[in-house]
Amino acid sequence: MAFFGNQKIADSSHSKPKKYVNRQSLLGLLFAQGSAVLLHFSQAPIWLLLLAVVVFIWRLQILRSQWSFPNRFVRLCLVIFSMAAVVLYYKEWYALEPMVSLLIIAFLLKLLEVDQQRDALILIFVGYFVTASAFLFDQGIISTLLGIFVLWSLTACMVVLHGSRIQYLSRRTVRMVSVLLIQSVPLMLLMLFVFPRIGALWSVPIQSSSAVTGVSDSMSPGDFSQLTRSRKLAFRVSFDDDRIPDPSQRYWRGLVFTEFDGRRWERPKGANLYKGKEPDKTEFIADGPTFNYEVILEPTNTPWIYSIPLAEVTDKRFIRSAANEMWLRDPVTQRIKYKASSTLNYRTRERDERLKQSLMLPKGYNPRSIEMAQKWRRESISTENYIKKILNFYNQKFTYTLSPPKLGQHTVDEFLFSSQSGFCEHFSSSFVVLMRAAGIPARVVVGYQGGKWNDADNYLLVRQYDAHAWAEVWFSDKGWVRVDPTAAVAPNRIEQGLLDTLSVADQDLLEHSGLPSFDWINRLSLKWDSINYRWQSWVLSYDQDTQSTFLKKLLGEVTSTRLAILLIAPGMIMLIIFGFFTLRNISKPTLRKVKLYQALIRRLERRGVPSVAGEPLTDHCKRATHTIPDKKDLIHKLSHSINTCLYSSEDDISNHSYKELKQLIHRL
Amino acid sequence: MIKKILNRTWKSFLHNWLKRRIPRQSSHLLRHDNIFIVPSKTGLGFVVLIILLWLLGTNYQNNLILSVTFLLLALIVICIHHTYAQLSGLQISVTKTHPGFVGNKGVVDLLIKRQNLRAYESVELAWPGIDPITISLIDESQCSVSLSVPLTYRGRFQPERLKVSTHFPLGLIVAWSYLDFDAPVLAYPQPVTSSVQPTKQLLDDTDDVFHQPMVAGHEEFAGLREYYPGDSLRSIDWRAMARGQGLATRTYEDYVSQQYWFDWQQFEGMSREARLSRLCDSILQQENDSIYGLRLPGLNIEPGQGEEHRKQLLEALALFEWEKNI
Repeated sequence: MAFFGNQKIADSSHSKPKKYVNRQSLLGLLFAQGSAVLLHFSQAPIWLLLLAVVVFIWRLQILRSQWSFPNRFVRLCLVIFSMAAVVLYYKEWYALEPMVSLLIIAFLLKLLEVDQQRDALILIFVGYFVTASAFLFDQGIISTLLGIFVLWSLTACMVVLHGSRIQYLSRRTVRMVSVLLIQSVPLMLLMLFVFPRIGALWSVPIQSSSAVTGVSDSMSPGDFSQLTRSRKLAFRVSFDDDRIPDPSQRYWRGLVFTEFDGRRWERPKGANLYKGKEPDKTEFIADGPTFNYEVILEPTNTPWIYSIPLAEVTDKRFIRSAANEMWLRDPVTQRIKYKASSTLNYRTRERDERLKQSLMLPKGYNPRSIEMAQKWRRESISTENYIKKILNFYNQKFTYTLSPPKLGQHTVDEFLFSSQSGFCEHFSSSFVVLMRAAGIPARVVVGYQGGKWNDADNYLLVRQYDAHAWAEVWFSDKGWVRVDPTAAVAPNRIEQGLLDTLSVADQDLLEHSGLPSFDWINRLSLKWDSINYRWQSWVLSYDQDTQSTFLKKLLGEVTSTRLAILLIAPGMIMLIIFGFFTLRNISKPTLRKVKLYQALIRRLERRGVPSVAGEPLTDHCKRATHTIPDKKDLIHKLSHSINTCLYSSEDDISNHSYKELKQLIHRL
Repeated sequence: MIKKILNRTWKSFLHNWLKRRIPRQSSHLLRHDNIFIVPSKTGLGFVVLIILLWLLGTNYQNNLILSVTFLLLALIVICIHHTYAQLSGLQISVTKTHPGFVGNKGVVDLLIKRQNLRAYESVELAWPGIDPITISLIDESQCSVSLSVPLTYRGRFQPERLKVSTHFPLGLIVAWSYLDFDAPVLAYPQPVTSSVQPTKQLLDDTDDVFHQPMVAGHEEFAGLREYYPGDSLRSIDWRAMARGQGLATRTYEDYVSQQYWFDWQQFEGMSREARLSRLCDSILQQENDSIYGLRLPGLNIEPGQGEEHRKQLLEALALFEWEKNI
């Protein structure tokens, strides 16, 4: 029986069979799992990665029959130690980070137990979850691509696990898994666009260590110079149309500090919107040209956002505070996107009690400054004049530096009269103190100033070192007006940004990007950033609101019936198409020899030699040679070859000869 | 109680339905009208995973997580087609059956052929209660398997429906078919040892003496052989010893017929099956060169010799009033 491919005899009747994981699947599993853990590289603590390495080596050694499976005691120890590590590492439990870490630990330790198919399947399922949860922390292009790769390798694992002869990294696997995934993509996109979106169901913060990134909710000397050493991205802004504000107008307003205790600037107590009463609306009058823009804010772990005053944010998630700040209900723990429109010309009104608050100074602090302020105010004819005098004072005597000397108790006095060098926080703080001492309501505003324009994709890149503090002064006719004392000292800081302002010594203080600063590297990194930006705005852009607009555009009116039709119709169409092909294939498994035969007959008929019922192919061809004598040889050849095919097994017709015969028929 | 009745009703319903749907044939082509597709246990677990992922993605409004969720959901749908394609187009036919004894196993040879050039991976074939055997058709276009089947009654044993199933490629979906093969396996009675000896028949009329086989006896001198301790002193060839040729033993043979008759009547008072079992055992006990016949009510098989003869007898035992047995 030589034609039998393989012969097997089944003769076993023991109880339920246990399916063990074979070597191939296990190697695949190790590979997929390794890449899944790698996906958490940026987020997971270092000891977790070490654990992963240990577990992988252990499992590989088991595979090589060098070591044995850990016994129950060792496993218990591993579980206890890793739990302890999580408890010690994360102080805050009610967050997603420690939970994901626990998941990864379970994922890793389970590997030391896997020897049955069931375990392997559980491991793969957890692997899918671990992969998806990595997207909570990073949605960049690189992690997306890596994520796709991990999904691919996990799916390949499933395939190998259920196959008997398929190899993990064979061409067949690669093709099969890719086909499976690619075929799934259209259906996935459909569901992604159409599947009803609902809002958040519960709130568990993602980060457990809610370390604030960027501007914080108070300002003491030294805070900003620390912050501005970071090159980290704060947010990106793209403007509608081509209307972009001048560099000197790019003040991204975040928080307003009115309380001063001699050292630290803070928001007034109880001004946190959602813990107290409703915010009172102060009137804002804006006129003049507006800028429309879209901001993608990196996670800050703080609940406020940044905008150019005077901003109008239509998004219902945001609420405007009395001091004209924009607040969210929850801290920004993931990258968010918002639209705003700003008018540069505006006037504000303010309540008297709040103006009174903006005049308060701590008693017993900075006596020299207060004395000087009162003297200078008496000498000046107007508020404007007074401000000009102070700015002049800054301009002539002060230096702008990232490493100012430390200040003692009377911070403003020491800054104004002895150190005379500082950073935006020193200038804004001392300026507001001088204003208030002269009886002019003033407050400190923090946020970002400037940003780097990315020509490649027309958006503004604002980094942490663009963090800035300035002042707002109350004029009874204009309302709150921005005054930036730093601009008086270092106008370049406002016009060109921080990097061009700093002295060489100060530039060394900045975090190194790890790359030498060549022009082409800068251009390359800008290009890369713009690709990232496009991806992020694309990934982030589709939400509940976009979905409803999209559906409205598509359906006219969103009713449940129409939605159901939209959801079901493409599925039905796909099923019908699929079904059509498969059914046709099954009811008539058209053999290739039959195809060849039919093609030849059709060709001959087209050349004017109709077939006669019951006539063999050879006779038909013979007749054809009389009608088309010039193709005699070809017809003879085809007649002979196809006749041979018809009487041989389907498997004997090689792909090559099939194609060749087809071509010959076409030449007829 | 109610559960039992429901179970039985369901089973009989299923049985009848399958009978109509997939009638008994000696060859089946797997196609859309005899392949059934359902999600597997793994698939249900997968759905739970998808729900969890959807919750995660929805709660954190994360489009990438939602994409993964929907990709996996789409994967299930795509998997239906791929799993179906793993069975459809397979032609399974019975080539031969090998008999066995009741209580033991018979063997059915199957030839699995594909109708196209697709690769078939991990197709499981199993009778109920037997470990499945897994076949694949990757480069080869056909393969043959021998499946053992436990025989539970005597006669022409009809195996239950063969379950042909596959979980490939992802295990989320299982495609299966219950094929009813027209493949009767001859089932011999279960052998039971008995102390009753078969009737030995001596040939009295010596018409054909020279063609009768002989056994060791006392009548006819057959020759000399070397002496072994324990041989009777009377049979020692003393004359030969006197000639100095050493100790030799004279051997004798009898003209005795070795014909045995296995007779139904010998097992008086036993049930039909008990008698058949004992007859079966007796036949199996016979040496290859012994000559034996079989007497059953209404059936007489003349004595004969050899493997073919034995098979003939066993078959007679297997088929004796077997329809009454089911």
